[in-house]
Amino acid sequence: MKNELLKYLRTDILPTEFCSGCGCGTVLNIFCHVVDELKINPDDIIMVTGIGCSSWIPSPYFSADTLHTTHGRAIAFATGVKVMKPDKHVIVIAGDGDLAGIGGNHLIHAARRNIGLTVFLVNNYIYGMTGGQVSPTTPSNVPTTTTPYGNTEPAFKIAELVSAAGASYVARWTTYQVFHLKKAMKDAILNKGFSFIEICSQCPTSYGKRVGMREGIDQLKDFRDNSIDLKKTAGMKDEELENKFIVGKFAERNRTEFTENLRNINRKFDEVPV
Amino acid sequence: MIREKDKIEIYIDEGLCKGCDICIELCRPGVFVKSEKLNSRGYYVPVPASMNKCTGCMICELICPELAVIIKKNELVKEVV
Ligand SMILES: Cc1ncc(C[n+]2csc(CCOP(=O)(O)OP(=O)(O)O)c2C)c(N)n1
Ligand code: SF4
Ligand code: SF4
Ligand SMILES: [Mg+2]
Repeated sequence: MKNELLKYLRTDILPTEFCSGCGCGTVLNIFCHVVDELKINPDDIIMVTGIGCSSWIPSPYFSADTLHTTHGRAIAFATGVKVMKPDKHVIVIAGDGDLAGIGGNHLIHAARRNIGLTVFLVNNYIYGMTGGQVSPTTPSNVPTTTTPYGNTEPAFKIAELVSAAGASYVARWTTYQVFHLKKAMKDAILNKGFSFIEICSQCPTSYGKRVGMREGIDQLKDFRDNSIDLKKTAGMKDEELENKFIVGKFAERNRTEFTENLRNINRKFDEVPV
Repeated sequence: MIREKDKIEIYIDEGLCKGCDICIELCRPGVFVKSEKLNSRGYYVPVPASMNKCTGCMICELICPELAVIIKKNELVKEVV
């Protein structure tokens, strides 16, 4: 028997190129469930992405109109798409390296402007595709290809960063919390302004093996055993939260959306008699 | 909660499975076991050996990175759960 959700995918290229046990496939799977449950016509979705393993979730696998752009520029392209096609669901799915590293500036400014995009950042804590170089989210001390003696830098807290920058919806979940993640994806897609989910995901090949977790399931168990509800972190010390995955909703606020403001200005000038 | 257990069916798409064992490890009632049989890509696919233990929680279907696990519930079960 075939999975009915395969109708959303480009099936001629399945199975995926993802390594066995990779979290990218879980994100793709849950995203298909979400599109199906929300009854969104894929013709009303425009997927935009950059470069990396996570960037393969929307392209080539998900079957919708797609812009597969240069490394780090997904949000810049998506902004243009949303301005011209405000009625479409413009959805970006890409990695930590892509969206928070080379594309980090686009990310914070899109949040500040509150552009009506949905962004799913697949945080596998590494540049997976290129063989495991350090990324802005790699935890301190972890050895990577480019930090063989351990990462000397602290990591970005992406959900907190995007929330502080002004996004109207922000959440963090891991690939272990499948039901929470599914609900959050729905909320993010239905929310009007800039909607962002940091999805902590396993990369057994380029990250897991460097932290003693060789299989995808090992990192999933780490997510299971070390996730902590954001609501329970008040009053907790930084040391207590080290190596924990703080999950939950970080922001949900009403702000006017960027393209709406643009259209209001246009309307003002349309009304000026010539 | 009324539920007829035999109304849940589990399918594994052997052509898609990459033998990651996530469903075997995370299914709480332990429905799956690793088979002795290799699929065409050289992976040992899981088999739902104890299908009657399935609670219909859907974790395996949602978490499978290859969309290879399908939990089929009939309408009655869907309503009650
Ligand atoms: C301008 C540019 N610089 C560098 C690269 C090489 N490159 C390809 S993917 C990648 C990192 C991807 O990391 P991430 O976005 O976290 O994706 P992952 O593979 O981890 O899912 C890099 C540096 C590139 N393709 N283009
Ligand atoms: S390298 Fe990592 S992120 Fe890329 S497909 Fe393999 S497990 Fe997934
Ligand atoms: S639906 Fe839940 S109980 Fe049933 S096989 Fe899947 S994980 Fe196990
Ligand atoms: Mg990455």
